[in-house]
Amino acid sequence: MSAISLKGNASGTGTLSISAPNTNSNFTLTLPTVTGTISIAGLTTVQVFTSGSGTYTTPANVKAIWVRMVGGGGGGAAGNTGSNGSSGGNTTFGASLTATGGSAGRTGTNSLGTIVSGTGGDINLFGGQGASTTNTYNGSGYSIGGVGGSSAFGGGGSGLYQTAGSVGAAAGSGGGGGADTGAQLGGGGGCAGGYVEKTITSVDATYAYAVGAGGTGGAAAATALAGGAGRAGIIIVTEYY
Amino acid sequence: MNKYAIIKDGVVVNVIEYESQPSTPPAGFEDGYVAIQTNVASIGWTYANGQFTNPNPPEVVEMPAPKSLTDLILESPTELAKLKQALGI
Repeated sequence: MSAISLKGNASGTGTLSISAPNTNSNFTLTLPTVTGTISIAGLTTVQVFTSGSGTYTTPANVKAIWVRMVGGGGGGAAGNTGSNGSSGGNTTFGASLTATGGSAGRTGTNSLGTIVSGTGGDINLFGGQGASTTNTYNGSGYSIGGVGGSSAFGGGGSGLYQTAGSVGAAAGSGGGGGADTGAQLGGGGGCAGGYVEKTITSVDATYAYAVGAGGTGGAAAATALAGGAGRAGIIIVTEYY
Repeated sequence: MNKYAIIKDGVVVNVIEYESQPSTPPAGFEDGYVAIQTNVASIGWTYANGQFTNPNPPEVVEMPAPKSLTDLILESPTELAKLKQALGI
């Protein structure tokens, strides 16, 4: 028969108590046949990074981390006589996880940016594509900028009648395209950043990280109103003890 | 919060927002990376002599100017004939 040994600690002064719950049934707690410290189920902490770069340090006694992150959203383009937006920056965690920054919205008839994803995750998802301009001009009307692409965390910036594009709403979403108040096309919306999700059960002590910036909206010119900026990316690290 | 291009060997490898000018190298990056403030550069742009350059500039698509009603009528013989008939000329 195997035995159970309960050992005190000569260095400490506290008392650990084992108490029974209020129940009339019988239960058996079977201990695992491994050496280690039993964790309390459900104990988690979360760290969130919304800008900058640095070194993430895994807290003591963490057994696993769940990393979710999105690249910066692309900027929306201005109306046709303005300029394209710029693409979002990449969000990275450690050496293997990269959520690609969203592509910029473009001016003109080919206003759709290219959708992007990420690498290294258990799940790698494309960000939403920014919408094309809505062509409403007929010689005297106006064009509306395209809506920015939605990220895994929510929607992009809007494109409105006679209005500059809005900044992407959710982390990693694209900026809205700018309208044009002349007989020109509006700007395309920026694409959202790619999404990466990874559960790491063999955790390192530290990880380098960087949060991709949102892309800049296209600049206004003549009758073209400016595009909206993409929203910066985000890293959410849930730590399991 | 400002945007900074992260540059390695003259090429923008990322764009990140910081509250202020980051150190060299920026936190989390190895030696050889520098951060230069920018509102225009994207990943893949080059940086030399204080200037950012897009190696793949977007193609400029010129939109045709809207045509007046007179131009549209003059371009269409059928419509022009109808107009002359209506005017008795």
